[in-house]
Amino acid sequence: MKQLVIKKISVLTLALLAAVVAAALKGSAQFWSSSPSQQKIASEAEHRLHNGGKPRPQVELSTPDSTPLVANAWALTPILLTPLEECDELVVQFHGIDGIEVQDPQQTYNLGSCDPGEPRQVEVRIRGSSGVAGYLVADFTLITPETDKRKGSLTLPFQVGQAKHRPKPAGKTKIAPDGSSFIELNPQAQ
Amino acid sequence: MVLGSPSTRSWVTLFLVSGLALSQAACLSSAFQEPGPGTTQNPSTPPEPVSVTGLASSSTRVKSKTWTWGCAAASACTYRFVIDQISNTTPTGSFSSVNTASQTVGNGYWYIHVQAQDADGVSSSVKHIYALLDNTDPVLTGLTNDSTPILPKVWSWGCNESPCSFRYLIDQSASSNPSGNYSSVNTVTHSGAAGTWYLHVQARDAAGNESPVSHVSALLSESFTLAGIARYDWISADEGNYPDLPPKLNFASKQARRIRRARIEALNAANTSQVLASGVTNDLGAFSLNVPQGSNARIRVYAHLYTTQSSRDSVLPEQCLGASWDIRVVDNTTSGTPLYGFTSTSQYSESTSAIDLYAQTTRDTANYTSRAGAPFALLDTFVTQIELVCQGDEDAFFPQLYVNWSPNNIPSSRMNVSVGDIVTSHFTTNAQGIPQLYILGKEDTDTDEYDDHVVAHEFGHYLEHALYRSDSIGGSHTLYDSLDPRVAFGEGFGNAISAMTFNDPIYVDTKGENESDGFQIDVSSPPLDGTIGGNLHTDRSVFSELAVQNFLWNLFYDLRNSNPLTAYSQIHTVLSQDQKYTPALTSVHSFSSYYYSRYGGTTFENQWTTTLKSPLNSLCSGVCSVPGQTPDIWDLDGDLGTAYESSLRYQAVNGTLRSAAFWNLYPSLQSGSNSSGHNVTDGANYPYPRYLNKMGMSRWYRYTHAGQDRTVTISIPSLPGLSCSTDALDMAVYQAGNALDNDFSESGCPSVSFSAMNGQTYVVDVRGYSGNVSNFVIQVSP
Repeated sequence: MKQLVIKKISVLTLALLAAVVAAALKGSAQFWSSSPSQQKIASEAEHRLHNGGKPRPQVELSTPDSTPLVANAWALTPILLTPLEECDELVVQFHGIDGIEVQDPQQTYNLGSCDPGEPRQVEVRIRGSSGVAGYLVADFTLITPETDKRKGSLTLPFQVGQAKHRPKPAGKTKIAPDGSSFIELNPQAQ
Repeated sequence: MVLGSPSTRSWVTLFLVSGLALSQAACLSSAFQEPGPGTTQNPSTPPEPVSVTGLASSSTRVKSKTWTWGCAAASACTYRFVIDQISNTTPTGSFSSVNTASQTVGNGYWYIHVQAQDADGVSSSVKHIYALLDNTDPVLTGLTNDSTPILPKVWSWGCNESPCSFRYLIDQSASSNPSGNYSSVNTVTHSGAAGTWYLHVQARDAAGNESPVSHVSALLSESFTLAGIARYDWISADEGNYPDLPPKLNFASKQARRIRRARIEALNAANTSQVLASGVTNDLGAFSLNVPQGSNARIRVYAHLYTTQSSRDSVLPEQCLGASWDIRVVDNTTSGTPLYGFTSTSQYSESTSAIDLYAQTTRDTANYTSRAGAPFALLDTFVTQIELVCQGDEDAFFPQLYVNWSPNNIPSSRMNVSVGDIVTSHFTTNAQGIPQLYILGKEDTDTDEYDDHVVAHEFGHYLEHALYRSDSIGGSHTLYDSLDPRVAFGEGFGNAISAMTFNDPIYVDTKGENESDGFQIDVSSPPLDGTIGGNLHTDRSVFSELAVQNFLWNLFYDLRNSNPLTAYSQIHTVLSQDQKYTPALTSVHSFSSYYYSRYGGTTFENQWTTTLKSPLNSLCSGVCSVPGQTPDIWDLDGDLGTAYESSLRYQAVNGTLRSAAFWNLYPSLQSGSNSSGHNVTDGANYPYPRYLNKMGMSRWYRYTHAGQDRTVTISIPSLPGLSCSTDALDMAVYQAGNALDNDFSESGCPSVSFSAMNGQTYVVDVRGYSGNVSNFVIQVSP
């Protein structure tokens, strides 16, 4: 969004921007009660972040409780889904990846009609073994009279204890002849 | 020099053979002029009593020119003259005895204008003659260093102007200079001892200008050839069948496809930092590399499309010729964002034509066991889309693009690309302004590398950024929104071009466990109009992305039926030559004004009046009479408002009718106070922050400056019923999409100032921020 040069953004403000945006996208109550200037800066930044994003149903996912999990213990975790568009039904299922388990991944939650901006809360039991840092995935469906089902997935990171999320690349990093690095995709060529 | 080049503007110095002062024409700029008549004298009239003699025009290129002249008269003559690059200048000032002058610098056609006067004070007509000057060195072409071992080596070269002559020298020194005579020889074959040899070439043009010496190297060696094909696994994103069968990645459909136009290298197997030969795959994925005899090589293909000048290989599509691109698929979650590459397991020490470099995507019962095909699947979509663009411009320039894909890229709530939290697949630019795509890759959640329509949609945003222009302000949006027209066009274009790329209107986005779920959009479905499911829809307008995508797709589809290989060319032409420079903001209205003016057509008319449900006359000055009419990018007549006030609702679903003034795109601002029914911001029932990019929160105006250039201030001094401390309104002013000033401060009473030029039209955008404001007054001063 090249035209939007926000006045009065100091270097310090920019430094705070990422945190503010993260809070905004997470939809935390603390953010919305913050000062107007913070909201505005976050709003403009959010526009930039979303610019060009692929078409998808508009739902935000968050949790008011991101306390680290205890190894191998089911934790009842509140999950907030905030639709940003109208629908007749918002239906969601949960599953875990990268070591996070959901107690009943087949369970479907029908959250009723969508009221844009109004979060709906469900509680999900999740767990992970020691050292796990994975994700809870919300697979949601928006149903409206006009269209086929519109579906999307969103994630929330969870970890057991102090475990860290570590990216797993598609191959081994090696040095190319020009001195740059490259990812070797052929496992037999390692 | 290249004749007629626009780069001939320079200052000239004139040297007099005699020492008298020159006329004021000595420092005229040298803008190129076509040669004009040699004299103003009409040949049918009787001979003049006094005339200039000894001058004749010449189109022979020379570095400098000296003219000497005399007169035909009953008595001795004096003269006055001027030299410039204008065909018909009349010299002024006093006459003198000087009868010779030179022009020693400059390029292009130079004129001398001479007038004689006899002793009785009788003046001749002005004699205008020209000479063609060339003081630019020629440039050698066709020579590059060649590290591929070869024996013998054939060099061929040329120069950027014609005719040129050349001289050359071949030796094993890197910086020798050729000497001796020039000739027309421009190719040489060399068979020497194994090792590095150098060719040193110099060119001379017709005027005698000499190029710098070009030194290029070649590696002479006996060699063998490594040839084969490069392939990757492609998986179809299948559309679903509502309500029971969702879209999914169809792993059973997996097939090997060719890796097209990718950079490929033969590497020393014992030391892979040494490149033995390099090239690119062709459109069949084929490659052929010559490596030195005695080598032991591996082959590596990179997820990198790169060329500085594309050629054709007789494999369709091949619209591009002379185009250039640099597109790399990299891993944003690994330090240094490395490029992806795939190296052969085998090593080769003798000629073979059967190398099969195969980047596979494999799975066990539930998960991927290899994602090697993914980066090359992305490349393949880009090749297809590049060819689409080349329908309109065969030598298009695609600026560098980084495509960030990783198995870690996940639909997150926060943005932290270094760990894969990319929110969703999207386009952006980095801090250095280099275009970046981020593509999802997290399995069992959301992967997009095989969702080729999603990838093409995002590449469409890159095209808007790099080749066209987008004024979109972004923001959250859905198909049924009443959007700021900039956003509606950008997102509608993205979906439409994904359909055009594959000639397939079904946009499929898969996701979920085993990538077995998803949703789809049928771009060929018309926007809703009427009561559907109990909701009243008026989705047909310039404010609807659904309408825009269907409109653009239908234009393309109609053209494709008649000419499959050039259907996109008209859309490209309008986007790259008109929309890119429009004084208006980019929208489907500005696009259509230009398109209709250029091409007309009943398909366009039907689409504009039905899909967008908008009046044709809004696109033309006055009443439309295409083709060739003047586009009305502003809708000066307010035709849109007149049509919309009785049919269109805000918001598009279950909204209310509004006045013509509310709907019109660009009401005019005049000096002083401006009140209008347009002066209202309305977020309708959209929640914060979704309302920020909606139609009612973007109030556009046009201001045309008359009179002397000066600073103009446009402001909203007060808010009816509110304090200026309420952050209700923002403002920006644009010229051809470039922001001249903006006020996004926390004050609700914004003000912008800019240098206004006589006759220029500027766009003022009043943006609602918090809450709705009615009846604000816009002040223009002076």
